[in-house]
Amino acid sequence: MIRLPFLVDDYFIPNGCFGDVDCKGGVISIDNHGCEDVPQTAQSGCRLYSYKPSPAGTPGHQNYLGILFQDVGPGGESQIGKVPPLPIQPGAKRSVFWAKVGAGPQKVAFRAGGANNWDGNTDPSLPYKDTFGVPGDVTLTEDFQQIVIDLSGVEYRDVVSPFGWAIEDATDQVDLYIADVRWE
Amino acid sequence: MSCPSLRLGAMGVLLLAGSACRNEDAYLGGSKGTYRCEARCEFEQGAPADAGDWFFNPESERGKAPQIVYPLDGAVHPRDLRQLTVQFRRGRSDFQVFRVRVEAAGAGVAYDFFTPCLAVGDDGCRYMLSGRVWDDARAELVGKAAVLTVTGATALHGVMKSSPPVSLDLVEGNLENKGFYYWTTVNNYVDDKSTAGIYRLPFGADQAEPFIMPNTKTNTRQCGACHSVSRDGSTIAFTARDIEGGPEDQRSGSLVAALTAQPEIHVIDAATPGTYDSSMMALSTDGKRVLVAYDQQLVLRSSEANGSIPGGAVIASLSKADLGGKIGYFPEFSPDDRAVALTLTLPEQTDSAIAVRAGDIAVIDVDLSNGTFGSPRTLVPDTGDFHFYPTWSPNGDYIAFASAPHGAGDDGNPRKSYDQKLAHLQLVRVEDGTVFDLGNATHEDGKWSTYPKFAPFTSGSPTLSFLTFNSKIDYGLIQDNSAKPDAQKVAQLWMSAIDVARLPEDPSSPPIWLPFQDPTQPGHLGLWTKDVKCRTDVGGSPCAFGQVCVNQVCLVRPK
Repeated sequence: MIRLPFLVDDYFIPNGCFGDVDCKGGVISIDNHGCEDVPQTAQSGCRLYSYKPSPAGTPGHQNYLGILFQDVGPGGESQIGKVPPLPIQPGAKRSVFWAKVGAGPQKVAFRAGGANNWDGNTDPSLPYKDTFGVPGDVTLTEDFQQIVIDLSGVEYRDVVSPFGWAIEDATDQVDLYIADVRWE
Repeated sequence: MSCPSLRLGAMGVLLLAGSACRNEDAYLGGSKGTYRCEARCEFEQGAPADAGDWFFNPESERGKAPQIVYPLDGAVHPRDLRQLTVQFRRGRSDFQVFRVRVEAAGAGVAYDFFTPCLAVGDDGCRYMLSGRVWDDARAELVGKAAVLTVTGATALHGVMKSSPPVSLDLVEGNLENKGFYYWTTVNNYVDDKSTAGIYRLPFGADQAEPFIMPNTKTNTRQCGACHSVSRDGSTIAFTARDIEGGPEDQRSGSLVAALTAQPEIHVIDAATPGTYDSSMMALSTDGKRVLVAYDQQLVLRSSEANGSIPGGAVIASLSKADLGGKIGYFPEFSPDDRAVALTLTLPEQTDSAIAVRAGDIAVIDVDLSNGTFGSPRTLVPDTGDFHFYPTWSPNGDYIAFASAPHGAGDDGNPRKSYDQKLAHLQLVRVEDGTVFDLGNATHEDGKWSTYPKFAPFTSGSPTLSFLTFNSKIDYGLIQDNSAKPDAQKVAQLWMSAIDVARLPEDPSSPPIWLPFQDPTQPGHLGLWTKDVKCRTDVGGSPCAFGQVCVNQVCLVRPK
């Protein structure tokens, strides 16, 4: 069981992608080396997520894209719903992290939980899902801000995705920087 | 029921309010101490504001104390490294807050960092020392006998227990802004693939930048791994090859060389597909010559960008006959470019284009002004062990190398130099061939400690230098290789201090993990240069984030 508090990067990776053209064709890139400045207090890494929306009306365009942090399945699975959860010590009070965008303001829907259960949408044919999904919608600017998703009162035991984000209605490239994601 | 006697901790003034019986902590009442966090203190997110006061408690006799797993006891840390992630087993499960203390008691200097247990592994905690307070600590503790302790406290009015101290030797490394090039992979996450390439950074930077990447203008082929960078930082050479659609072994490799300021513009471009003209190579200190080992020969070529001899031109070749009937592998020029160290092996003891099953460490004199070579002189003969990957110390007096015993490996085949589990590190004095074991650097046998490379600079002490290598030893609790089957262990880049003043004792220190790496991805083939040249072949910034270009050199921007 993962003890609290923990750094999400120590147990999960951003391998669950959903949305535009099923994340193919270069609509999303993830750069571990892409952060020019990192919050001074960060204990874990910072990543740059570059989302290049597919043009409206093109095949596969869904007008959104999201990334979920997950474990890697025993057979190397990363598809959302096929990755088993990990047990996390109950009692987490919050998920906390730093985020900014290259050009703001930009609304970003952050989430704790929500794997195969984003806004209650579940594919019952898939073996795994989160039992909860706590939203944290934030409008980001070019400056890092610390964001808190309140987890108090959330009941969980096994968690597929402790953290994720999604962006809707973007027409131009969005550069999203996220650092030091924790559960406390 | 008998009750234990009470011991008062040395710190703080305690009010003795009671006692306890077996299996209970003594109730010792509240502390009168008030901690003042001034310049030598920092509170991590999640630590209570009064965390400092928690450590006036008495030391408990009950339960386990925290135990530091990383850094390794006795490791030498160059001041230039800005990050150090302390990892420790938490000890008692009811410890709520931990104090990471770096102290030079003799000098009356102590820095305290208060943190909750950020979980790692089954029972571990991690805390990364970085930022201004740690910068100040390194500056103040340089040259002083420092120790690191971790103390856990249960509550403001509870008990505490301290780890055994770990000695932490901070030295002037003179490594800041020196160049470091290495090979690694990067996880792309969403497409289940990773990208492998050569990365670089000026030492002291928090992260490396991709430099020679496959299927780009820097390397139009699918792979580029074996590489050399001139000590002056001017030139890089590597073997480019196609993996898919090409031959399975390394014989498809083709030599590429470029100025590091312009890696997209090649001084030596890859030959036509299918040409085999490179496996492993060494650049001269000024980058104008490259000695290429491939196809049972050594070939000296020009790698000059604008010299009298065009880049790529063959200057000299050394055949098996020139090398006493042996084959040359893993060459490296001496710091003054007047000799080459290499592995020599018999033709029947080769394994592949990049690996041997036997070998001596030898030196060949060279005169680069006219491209002539002397006869090889064996420094360390192959006896019970074979030897490979030689690297010169900064002044050329010593050569470090890797060794492994002959015999069959786990797969039943004869052991080879490549990916060798039993590789360990040694040092030979060039003057007389005396060999010294670098046991502290190797740290543990059977952990693939190999491919040593000296940083070609002495530190603040003329006898102290640094040796990097890759190894699959555990990186504390974060990369627990010991818990994994061999195929899943991850090689990482490590660095040990070599102080030849300690000879004939082991001159090496326990290694430190190089903190710009991704601990989940392999790191190999680290190479040092005088500096990192600013790029002139790309638009925008000629240096990576957090760096500034000054006089054509990338420097780490002070924080």
